[in-house]
Amino acid sequence: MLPLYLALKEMARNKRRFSAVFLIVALITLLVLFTSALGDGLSLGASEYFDRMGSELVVFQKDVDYQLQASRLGRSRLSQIRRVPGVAAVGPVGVSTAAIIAVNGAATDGLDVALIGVEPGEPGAPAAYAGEALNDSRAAHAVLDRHVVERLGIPLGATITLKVVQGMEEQLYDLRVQGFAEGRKVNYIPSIFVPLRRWERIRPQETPGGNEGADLLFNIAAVKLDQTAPPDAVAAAIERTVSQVEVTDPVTAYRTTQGYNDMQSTISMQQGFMLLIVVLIVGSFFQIQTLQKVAQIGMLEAIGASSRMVITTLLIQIMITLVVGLAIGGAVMWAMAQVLPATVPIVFSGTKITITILSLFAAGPAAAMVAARTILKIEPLRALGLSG
Amino acid sequence: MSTLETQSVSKIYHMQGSEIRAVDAVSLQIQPGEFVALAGPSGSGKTTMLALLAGLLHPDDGEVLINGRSLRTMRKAELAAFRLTHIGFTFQSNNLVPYLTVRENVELMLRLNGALDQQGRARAVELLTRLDLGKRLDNLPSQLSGGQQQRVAIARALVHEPSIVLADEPTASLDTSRAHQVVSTLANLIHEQGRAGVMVSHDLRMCAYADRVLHMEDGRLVEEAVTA
Repeated sequence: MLPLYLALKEMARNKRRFSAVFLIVALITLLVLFTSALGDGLSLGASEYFDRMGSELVVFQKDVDYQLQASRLGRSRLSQIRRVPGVAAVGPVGVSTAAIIAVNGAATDGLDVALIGVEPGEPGAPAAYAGEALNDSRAAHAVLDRHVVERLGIPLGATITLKVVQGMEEQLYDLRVQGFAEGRKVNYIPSIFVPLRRWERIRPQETPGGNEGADLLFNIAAVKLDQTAPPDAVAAAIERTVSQVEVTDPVTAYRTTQGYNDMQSTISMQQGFMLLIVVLIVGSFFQIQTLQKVAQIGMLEAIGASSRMVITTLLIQIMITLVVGLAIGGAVMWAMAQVLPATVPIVFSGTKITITILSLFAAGPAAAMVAARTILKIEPLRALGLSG
Repeated sequence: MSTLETQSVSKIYHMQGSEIRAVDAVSLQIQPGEFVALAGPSGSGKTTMLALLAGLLHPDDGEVLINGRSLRTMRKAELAAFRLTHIGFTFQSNNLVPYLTVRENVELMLRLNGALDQQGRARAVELLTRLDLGKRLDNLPSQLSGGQQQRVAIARALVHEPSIVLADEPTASLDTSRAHQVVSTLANLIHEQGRAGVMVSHDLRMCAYADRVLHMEDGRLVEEAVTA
């Protein structure tokens, strides 16, 4: 096939030039993928817990605008929610903050975490990918999310020491690490899960150690449905039946987190602009590269090469360049993701990677075709710089 | 029947409201094995005439016939295919594909024609050897002198055995001795192989190698001379 022959010959005989072209495409790919992954990683910090909650509905206290820590629910409401038709299970979720200051008695730099109290086996409690999920509603056990594990390198069975402020004093609590769960950041900080009764004792509060006699309070309730009724109908039924609550789905719950929409639109805009700029750069790059071949294309046309052959040669070369450049950029990105510290939130979105690759694959050939069309419209004489 | 014939062919350019007759009612006939030089001052219309003969430009009036076929009715793709099989072309500059070796540049015409076989390869090497480039087969154009590049272009123009060979100022960038060598080789090959050859040149010394010299001025054929 002549176009492939010409495209490969040019690349083989201009190794240095084409290596530079591969490098440019690879760096551009790396830039787009990195900023995209970073933006998605930041977004995930706000949505991860709700995304992986495994519940169809979330119940908040009424009139708190779905703000997690402003919501307060008591035990009595759980049983009322459970009785609503369509509800399969309901689990309490309490959210506060703490800091891990030691692992197996050895001090750490101190890592702020979301301290989440859940009822073992109920909605809201995470499954463990290593070790065991929480299974004792009172034990001083914890399940750590992947971010905590990666940042502190904590082994299963280790004892972590939490520091919290209760009343006017700092209190320290030891917990045995029973399992590891997938990442579940809440408001951008990693999480540890403890049984709700343990959480009630160790969360920041006025009375050190909690008040055993008081009604157990938590922030929200995670609701799993039995799929006999649509979620909207069950949500409406809960709001009718249970006083002073508002029900929403997990996505709405994190989208209403303070600042989430502002941050999300900033990230999306940044990703969009980045992609647009990169597409224009890649397009211009291949357009200029094609325009530099005016004389060569004119000569080929003059000796009888068809326009189709000239265009196919250009397209093959651009596609090879993009494939090699994207492969190098993707491989470097993958390697970087392996060595970057766990504090850098990188998440690869299949959709965005696909959009990026398709955009670059479309931009290069499209721009080259515009240039080629311009060149092919010029008489071969002018392209060759001849005059009579 | 003439290999190449024009019948009162004209090409008119419109520039800033005025009409420039780059080629004005030129009629000529070239027979197989005949080498004709188109001479004249710069701007006389020589290259435009050559472009019309090659079908790179459409005439505004008149006909160009190659082997009895009119180029007027052919579409762009058809013209390209026709050029590929019937015409060999050399230019003043930018003659060669820079990333192909000498041998590959000549074989390119055969590849374009879908006729690269053992015989074609042998013909390419034979032509290049004849043009004193036998030791340069695997060199890139950038490793050749201007004269050597012109000779590679001549080999490429002849390798697919076209009926017509067109050369636009083939000696423009060469010193005198190289220019003589290139044009005499071109003339010899055209005569030997029975092609119809047209060379555009403003250098009258080079025209001595042609069988006929056609002088152009202001787009018109003003004089025809038969060389000795």
